[in-house]
Amino acid sequence: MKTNGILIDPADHVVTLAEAVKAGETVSYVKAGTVYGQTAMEDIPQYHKMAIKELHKGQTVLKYGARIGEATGEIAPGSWVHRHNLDTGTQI
Amino acid sequence: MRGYRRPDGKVGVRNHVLILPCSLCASETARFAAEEVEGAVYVANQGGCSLSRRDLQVTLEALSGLAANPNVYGTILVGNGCEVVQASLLAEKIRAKTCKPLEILVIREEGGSVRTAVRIVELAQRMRAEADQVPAEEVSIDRLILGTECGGSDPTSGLAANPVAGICSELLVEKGATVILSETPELIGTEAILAERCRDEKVKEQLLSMIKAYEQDFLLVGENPRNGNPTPGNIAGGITTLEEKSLGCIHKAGNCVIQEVVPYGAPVTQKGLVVMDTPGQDIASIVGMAAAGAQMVVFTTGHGTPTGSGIVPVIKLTANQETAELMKDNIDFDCSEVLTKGKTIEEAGRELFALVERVACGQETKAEALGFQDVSLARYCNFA
Repeated sequence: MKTNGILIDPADHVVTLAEAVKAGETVSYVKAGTVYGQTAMEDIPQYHKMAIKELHKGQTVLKYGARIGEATGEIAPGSWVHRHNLDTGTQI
Repeated sequence: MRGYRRPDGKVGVRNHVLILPCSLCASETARFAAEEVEGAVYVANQGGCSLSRRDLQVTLEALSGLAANPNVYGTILVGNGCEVVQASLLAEKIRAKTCKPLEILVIREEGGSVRTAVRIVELAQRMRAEADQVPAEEVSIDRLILGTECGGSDPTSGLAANPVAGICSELLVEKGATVILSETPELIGTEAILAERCRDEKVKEQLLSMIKAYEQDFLLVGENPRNGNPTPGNIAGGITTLEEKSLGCIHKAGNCVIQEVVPYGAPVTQKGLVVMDTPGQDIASIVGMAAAGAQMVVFTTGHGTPTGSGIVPVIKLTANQETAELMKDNIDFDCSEVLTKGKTIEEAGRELFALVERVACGQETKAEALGFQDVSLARYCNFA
């Protein structure tokens, strides 16, 4: 079936969008053979990330099953995740 | 896979006769001889002279490694006579790595380019006939050393093409084969993640000092490789942090444990995932992995690239549908359905693995069909 979100690793907190979505549209993705859906809270461009879990300020954010940075604010599922709410943090 | 057994115990998936010039001064003589011999490959050597001591070591390691590559039956070494990479010096280095057939010609000693070329053709044709006697045997895939490379990357690379390659890498490692992860500049920013994947403290230390030394080289000439990454283009494309960008790149090796860290072009000695110190330039990186003993390379691309190698088949894959369409001549595997039709990364990764097996059994890649023999060597200093 056609999905519009890519979950690279089952542990990931974000999916990447294969195409742009508008607020209110459903992003579908496959996790361990099951299709899940998450409503987008805002417009998100193609190839950008959307949260599929609730993330708290300071929390490590996972993509590729690894740390890509930390949340710089509260992130609700369905939110666009980019420079405004994710940063490298202190590890580098 | 279908392998050719070599007297040094290694197994190749191709059966080449190699004409190898020691330096740029011997390259043209080697080239016009190579064009006369069907089934001979040639390395366009743009270096080999006026080298710093460090570049001499790198060049010797890489060129001797190409001669020792399991896809090569035997080598005809061609020197001019006065270059820094002396034919005798390179021959010594080759013999330390392999006992395969080796012939040495020096242009001045043979009496100029024409006489040398005639001798090259004679020797290469004889070697070709001998090579054709080597039977192709069914051998286990655990003998495969697969190099991984990415170039001309776009958002589809980190999102789909590299993870697809990662599944293929994990399958190979599970089966006991070896996978090489290359391109040191792309590892910058992933030190903490890669360090956790190292087999032990020693490997971890080697990996971290390799990345640090690479960065140090840039700092010496007043550049900082961390600056400007991710680029504005990356950010517009959805990449937020340097770690995310680099993770997209290293994912082509999957989540395997790092067993070994090797310098540019040096032989790989461990099974499983090996990290090699190579530059970010695709072709120099591929040559380094071929010199290390890789019999094949998987190359992920977004924009598309024609790259091939005379020594190793290079399988090029893309997850960019437009690239797959526009560059049909060059792309071996189109995995854009991961992005357009909901095909899973796992599924596409298994298909790529099947293609790797077929190429290991002799199926020609696009670059092989075109006869591409790209060559570039890593180097550090300007010519002396």
